[in-house]
Amino acid sequence: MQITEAWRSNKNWSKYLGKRAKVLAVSLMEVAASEQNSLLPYAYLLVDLGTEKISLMGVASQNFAIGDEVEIVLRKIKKEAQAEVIVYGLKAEKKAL
Amino acid sequence: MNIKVIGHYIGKFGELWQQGLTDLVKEGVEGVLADAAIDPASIDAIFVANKAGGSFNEQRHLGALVSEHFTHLPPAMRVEGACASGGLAIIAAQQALLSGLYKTVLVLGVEKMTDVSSGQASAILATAASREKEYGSTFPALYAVLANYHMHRYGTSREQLSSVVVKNHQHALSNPKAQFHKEFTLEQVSNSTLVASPLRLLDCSPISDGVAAVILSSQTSARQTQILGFGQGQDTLALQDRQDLGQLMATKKAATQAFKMASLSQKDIQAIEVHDCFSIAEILATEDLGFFAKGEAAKAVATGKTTYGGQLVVNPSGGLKACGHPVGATGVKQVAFLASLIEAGQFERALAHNVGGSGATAVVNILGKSKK
Repeated sequence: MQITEAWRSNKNWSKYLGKRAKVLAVSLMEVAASEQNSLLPYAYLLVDLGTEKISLMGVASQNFAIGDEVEIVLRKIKKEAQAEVIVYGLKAEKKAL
Repeated sequence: MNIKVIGHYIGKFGELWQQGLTDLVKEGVEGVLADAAIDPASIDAIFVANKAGGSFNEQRHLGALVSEHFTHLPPAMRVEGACASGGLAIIAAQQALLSGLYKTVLVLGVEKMTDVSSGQASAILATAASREKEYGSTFPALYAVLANYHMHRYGTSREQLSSVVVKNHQHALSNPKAQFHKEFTLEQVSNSTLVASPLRLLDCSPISDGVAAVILSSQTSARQTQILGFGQGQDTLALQDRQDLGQLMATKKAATQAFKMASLSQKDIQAIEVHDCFSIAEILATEDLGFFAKGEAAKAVATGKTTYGGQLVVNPSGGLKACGHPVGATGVKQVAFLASLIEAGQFERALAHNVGGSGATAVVNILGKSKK
């Protein structure tokens, strides 16, 4: 995930945080992309929120199975920091009157 | 439809350390022209299938790279649809022929994947998944989710998944171009290293280098293989947006179109090359193509119905699993390989099935022996 994608996805977190969902399918990952290597092993889940389905990683040290009830929480999804972070902040822009 | 395969070539698949991307292109062009035995100047256009030459090889102008092998520099374009790039390039070529714009075209699929580390290769391959909705996944993880769901819903077993691998490695023994010539037992597959449960190392197709090419023509030819029908289906990029995890809808759509165009049904087909990037993918494919009812394909493999002497031969080349999977070349290889079997008189009609991503794109081509 590029840091710009991470920034853009932040605005959707509140939509999911604290919501409960049911596990539809699960895989325990023993091999991962380099960004998640330090988090192995972890579960990769497809869950049903009732109104929509989403895919996401499971928290560390938990075993998941189809039908399990889960809650969406905020946790680290990669360990390494990105070398160049594009920093978003506040600026002033002149608007046409 | 009057499109014939008038030339085909498959290079050796594997880790080809002595060949770069340009070498593979040269081998493919020279090989297919030699097989077709035609004047190179009769090639009206070129369609190049490649998934990620920009990332693997820092080469993002593959049409020109192939065209420059011809003194008349025919128009060339690259077609990209992840692992379905080869099948899509063949469809694009057929559409150009059917339009009447061209009479004879070259389709060349190529991928040079082993010049980067396996970690980099995995990351490049993962760019065919949804970047926003499937974070933390890998391709094995996405197919593992599909496998987990299929096993839960239809009772597909670990041993049945392994039987796909055992069969395809047996088939590859008679294919000199295959990456692997090694047999495995059910136990070896079932006990190989876990990658993403339930998928293990030997459930996964390898990282490969390779080239394959076909020449298609609407002109009269003595060559015996004809394209009878083709189809393309799409589904959502992310698994989470699919209606049913137990099937790949894009495959169903592509098969329906292709069978309708060919005026054939599944019982008319004797051999199929399907996209077995993982063992579960072959089971999904043979069900969604309509050869087996849902939940029956895994049993069919385990009871010998998908090999020689059975109901139909699935992946006679060894499939992606044992023949290898140089991504852009795979869909072209499927058609080239089936054309060679039809010419050899082994089969009258055959089907090629090529998938992109975790099923977002699917292509089906039906081939048959021409009446003349």
